[in-house]
Amino acid sequence: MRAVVSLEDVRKSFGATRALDGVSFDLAEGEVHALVGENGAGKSTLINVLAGVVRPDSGRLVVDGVRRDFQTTHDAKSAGIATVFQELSLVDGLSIAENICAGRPPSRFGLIDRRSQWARSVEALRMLGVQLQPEMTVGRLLASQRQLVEVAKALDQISATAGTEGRARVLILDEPTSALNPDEKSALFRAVRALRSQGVAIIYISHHLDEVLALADRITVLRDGATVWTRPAAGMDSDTMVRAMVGRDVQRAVRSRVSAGDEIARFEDVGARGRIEGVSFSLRRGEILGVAGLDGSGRESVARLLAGIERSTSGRIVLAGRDHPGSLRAAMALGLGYVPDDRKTLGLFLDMPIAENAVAAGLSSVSRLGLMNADAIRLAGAGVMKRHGVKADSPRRAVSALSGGNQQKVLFGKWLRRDPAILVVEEPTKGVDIGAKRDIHDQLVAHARAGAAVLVVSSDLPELLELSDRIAVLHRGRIAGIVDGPTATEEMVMTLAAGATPRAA
Amino acid sequence: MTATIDHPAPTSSRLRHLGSLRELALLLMIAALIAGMSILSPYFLTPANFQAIVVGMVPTAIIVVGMTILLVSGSFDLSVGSVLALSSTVVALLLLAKVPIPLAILAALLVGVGFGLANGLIVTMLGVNPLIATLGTMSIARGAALVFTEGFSLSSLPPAFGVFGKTQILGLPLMAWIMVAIVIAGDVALRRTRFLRQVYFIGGSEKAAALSGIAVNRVRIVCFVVSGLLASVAGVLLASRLMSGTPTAGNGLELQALAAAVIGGASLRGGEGTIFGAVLGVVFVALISNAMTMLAVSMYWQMIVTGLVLVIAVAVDMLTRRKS
Ligand SMILES: Nc1ncnc2c1ncn2[C@@H]1O[C@H](COP(=O)(O)OP(=O)(O)OP(=O)(O)O)[C@@H](O)[C@H]1O
Ligand SMILES: [Mg+2]
Repeated sequence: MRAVVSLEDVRKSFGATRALDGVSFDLAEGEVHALVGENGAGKSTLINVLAGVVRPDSGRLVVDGVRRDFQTTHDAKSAGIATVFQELSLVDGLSIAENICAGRPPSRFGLIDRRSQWARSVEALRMLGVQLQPEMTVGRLLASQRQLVEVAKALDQISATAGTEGRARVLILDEPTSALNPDEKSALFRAVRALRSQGVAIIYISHHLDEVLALADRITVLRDGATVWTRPAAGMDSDTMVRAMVGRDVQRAVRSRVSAGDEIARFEDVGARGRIEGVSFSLRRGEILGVAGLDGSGRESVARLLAGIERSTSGRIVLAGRDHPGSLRAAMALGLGYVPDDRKTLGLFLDMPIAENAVAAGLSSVSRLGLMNADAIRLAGAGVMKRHGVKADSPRRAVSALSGGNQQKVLFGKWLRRDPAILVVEEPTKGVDIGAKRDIHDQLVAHARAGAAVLVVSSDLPELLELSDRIAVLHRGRIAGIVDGPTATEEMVMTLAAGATPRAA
Repeated sequence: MTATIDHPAPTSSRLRHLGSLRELALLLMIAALIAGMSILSPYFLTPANFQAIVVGMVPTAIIVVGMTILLVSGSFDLSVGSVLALSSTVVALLLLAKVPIPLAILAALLVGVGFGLANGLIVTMLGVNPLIATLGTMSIARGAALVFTEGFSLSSLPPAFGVFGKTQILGLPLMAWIMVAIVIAGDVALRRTRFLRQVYFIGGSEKAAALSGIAVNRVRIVCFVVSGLLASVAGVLLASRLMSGTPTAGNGLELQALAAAVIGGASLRGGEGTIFGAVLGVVFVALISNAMTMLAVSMYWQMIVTGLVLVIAVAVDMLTRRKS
């Protein structure tokens, strides 16, 4: 096997944080090489080195036998490396086609050639099996669709450069599936395998070890910025990987069944134009209610209606014994908390310190007589870091400097600090490693068992099955069924979500 | 990156804050400028010149307080210069119509509040970009001032109205002390009050702020109202000093205030800035233009130099940001 890309003893520090601490890694032609590790292990930093976003402090980067020092992302692209970053980078105001072709827009006589831009986008989307109109504005897409467009953009770079000098031979995917449903995932896997058979080398980062085992040829485990080992995927199992990632065994939590308490919120025949219709359910103290459904089934709307950031057009929503006040602010006053699905644009203030983020939803808890108390803010930040195990050197560190998983922990900390009686959560563990996922799940369960009601919307079905006491399954905006969490199976939920009647279990 | 929010921290980590660094750098440059000028010109370090500099700074320093709050919230107000002019003509018109002084002042301040409210409502409720919204009200206020006065300055105001410019306290006129009070109150309020702390969150990310339960629109409207009110305060003080209402006053003041705030560490992208820094920016720019006057540099060159200072300050800002 010939190495297309190799890293030798690469180091990179950000202030006191050693993000990469002597990583060695090589990528062979035509292989899928998975990169796994805990949140903050240095995976994205490694990718950023390869993509020209970050310059290493020391170490060697060799591409095609030539030592390289990328100064910009453009250098990396011209060296044939196409990257899909963990944090998405699409421009909301532009169309899908414009975004896909942004790197190298087709032009004729100095003008953008719209026809070939359209054709290229259709082709890239087709490879992923996505049915989207290329002229649609990206700002209107669902999270999963955005993620696919992002991948399509990289695929376009590969096909647009095929046969040229700067031919893209390396595709990097940093957690590409964190927002995808099972069908979208398998379409993506097909595309990845097709590329591999054309000789493209692929780096694949994921916290879903089953995906890694299904897709990868080789696996490299990172821990604390260093390589633990690189091994063939054949014969590998998740436990071995987890042990290498965390340096110890991780216990699977055993959950007791509880009986739910009083009702705290209720949907009565609720409709929201075009999104959901005739939805009724009740939410009780002490329980976790999962909401499942395919993309476009309206599952997010259920959460957002309850949180008060979407408006219903019919029916009635009852919150804490009265009519829902219709805004998040007012709902918060009734004890509601809301964790949105996109931590980067909706959940967090990226340029602000961890401490400020931790208190953003509860400024009155750190102020007296209208004046802020700086010590209280810092303590609150430190408290959130400790309680959720956020990896950072100080609560003054800007959230943008944290790894994705650690950002997610801060987001949870921000809301759990308020101890909400009703917690509405979308995609609780998007981009979060196994250990942190378990932590977040434990926190959610503990919060429910302490008497709060939790409503979880997730595209990650195993997660819903593990967490939920009951699961409401939506199909085209209507509830297709509410199943008992502990006894439900993935198949049961999928059948309901697809609109079919499940066989009796 | 957001070094603008004050936390008690050990000095070393405090110095690492970009914002404090910026303020320190400005203080040093101001000191250097003063030292250099006192060597170059014997008239620089005199009480008379000091008074002239301070009095000249009053309108900008008052307006920059509102401008900084707006900048931190991620927007700005281009109408302040015109609102200043309009309030100065309104107060003069009313005084000439024999309205009692306090009532005339109150009416002028209401003009500022009204324009601020209008800006805030247009930006939040109609969703018009602050640039367009305040460019519009800027033109309306200026036009109104010219219509009321038919383009002339209104002088021979009652002598008692001159109190803000004439009363001297500890070597400075009353209007300078009002400026000091507004600046200190503004700085403390932006640093410490819960209400204005929300402004940093809104500037950091408006969506995330709304999803944290912050009443984004309400806060943004209040910011515009504060900005309008302060512009009219500056207008009244200016009218008192000049003993006339001038419809052409405050031309370009909005840009001066913006420039000073940015030099002082505020960012046009929002989320960053302090009033202390912005006022240091005002002092810095005022000193530079005073120095140039002392050295007999022509007005036209002064404009060029002021522009250069702004561009350089922003460029340095961008470069240091990219590194961090
Ligand atoms: N720009 C930065 N400034 C400061 N620290 C940083 C920066 N980028 C990354 N780090 C730190 O480097 C470490 C590695 O981060 P990285 O994003 O590479 O982790 P990761 O393995 O991708 O994690 P995740 O699975 O959560 O995405 C983390 O501790 C992170 O806080
Ligand atoms: Mg990462």
